[in-house]
Amino acid sequence: MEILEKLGKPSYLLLGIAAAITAIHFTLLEQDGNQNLISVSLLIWLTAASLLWDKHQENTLNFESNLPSTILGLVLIVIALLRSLSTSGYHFFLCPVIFAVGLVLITAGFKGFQIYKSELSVFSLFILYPVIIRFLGMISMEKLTAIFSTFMLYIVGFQPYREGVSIILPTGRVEVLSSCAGIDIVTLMIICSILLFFIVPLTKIQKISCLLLAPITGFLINCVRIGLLTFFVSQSADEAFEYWHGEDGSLAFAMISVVLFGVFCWFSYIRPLTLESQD
Amino acid sequence: MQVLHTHWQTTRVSLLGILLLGMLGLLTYKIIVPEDTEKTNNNLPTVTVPDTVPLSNWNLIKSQPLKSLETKEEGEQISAKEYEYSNEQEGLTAEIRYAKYHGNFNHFLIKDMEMPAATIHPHIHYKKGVGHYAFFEYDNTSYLGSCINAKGEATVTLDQYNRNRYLWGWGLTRTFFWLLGEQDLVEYRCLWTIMSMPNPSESDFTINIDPHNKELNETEKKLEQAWFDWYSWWKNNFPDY
Repeated sequence: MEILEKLGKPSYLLLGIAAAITAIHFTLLEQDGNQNLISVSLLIWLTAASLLWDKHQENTLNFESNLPSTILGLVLIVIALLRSLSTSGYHFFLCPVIFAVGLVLITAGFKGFQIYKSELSVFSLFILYPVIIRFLGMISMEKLTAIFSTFMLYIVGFQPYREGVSIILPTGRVEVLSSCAGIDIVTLMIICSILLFFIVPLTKIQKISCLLLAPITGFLINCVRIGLLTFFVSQSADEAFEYWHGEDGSLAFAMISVVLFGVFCWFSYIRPLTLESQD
Repeated sequence: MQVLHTHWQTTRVSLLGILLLGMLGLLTYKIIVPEDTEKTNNNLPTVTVPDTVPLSNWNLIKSQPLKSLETKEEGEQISAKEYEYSNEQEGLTAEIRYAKYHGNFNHFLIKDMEMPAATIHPHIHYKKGVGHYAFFEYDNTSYLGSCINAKGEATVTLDQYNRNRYLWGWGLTRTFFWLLGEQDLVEYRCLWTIMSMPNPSESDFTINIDPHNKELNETEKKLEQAWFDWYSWWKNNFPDY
């Protein structure tokens, strides 16, 4: 009977609704199979959850709402739900934002926008994500990637030369297309660095260096991947090429760059903070 | 005040409970019936073009589906049909194409009719309640061309199509369905019509100096009359596609 008693409280119901939104989002993402989007969604959700947990610890969570804002929030959530049933399908960038706004409205009404400002900003990154991808698609990343990969191969001791977006080794040739130019990985890194701002208090200079360093890390790691792929082509190792060119391989490199960035952040930003608090 | 407060508490709990139940239902539905994008593409509703379109003073001889160029290029099926009519002396051919997002006359001439649009000088007429329609001659045949919009009047040029769209093609229910991703925000459907009659052989060759001030000749008057019938039939039986 304890569970029924708890379900009678708005706070537990709201928790259930939040969990249901999460479940629906990730179920649909999993069915869609876009791995980059899954990792970005996971990061955004974890950040929002961490922020909410902090609020819970400080006891600043607010569950006071009124009828008009509850109804508006319900309408928003229902629209996003109906969207996932319609023929054109769930919108992976718009629907999470609509869900978040609706949830804030039914939780704390219009003043909730003030209270849950950082959570909403985290979720608005879902709209920033396609914008960044479009922007990176406009600047020609292919050529930059080809230049840097050629340079790296040269340093390692091969004899590559480059023609436009093609990297040519004596025994093989690779053309860098826009899908391998690291747009996904760089976008993921930019989102990562912005998410870091919400979790760790940083100074302005640290923020700027973070925003610059993260995409550069992603870009260079992707260049390493392209260099490796060229090496596989020149050795005619088709199976290795298939794996590292495919989704799993590119995800592994995305993870490497995220981990590298995380290690950097740990040693330069987070460790000093923990040392300070220990003192 | 206290009573109102407890009232609000219970309504709130019940509203949230209903929402939670609905979401759980949707979640189980989505897990049981996974979205299969390929399947939905194949199951596109096939649009059937009507076999007969009655025109007063004209008898339908036959109708046949048109193979348009766009089918090959863009891989999308465009429904199109050709109707042949006759009275005692003359023949009339009418073609209909179910178009969406395409409201440009020149584009239509080049893409669908394979005509050199640059050498064709259509003169556009306007009748209230029907809209714009263009007359032009090509290969010793008189043509009448126009696009019958689902909302508003018939249009010829892209400007007219766009203006018509924004004047009549938007609505509140449409906006709601657009939010759900079911419909376009404005109405894009438009039926491209082309009607043609061969020029009588004895007609002398005339050079048209001012296309805007031209009197309609006999053939064009017949075409226009047939067009009015055609327009009102399609407007009343506008297909859903």
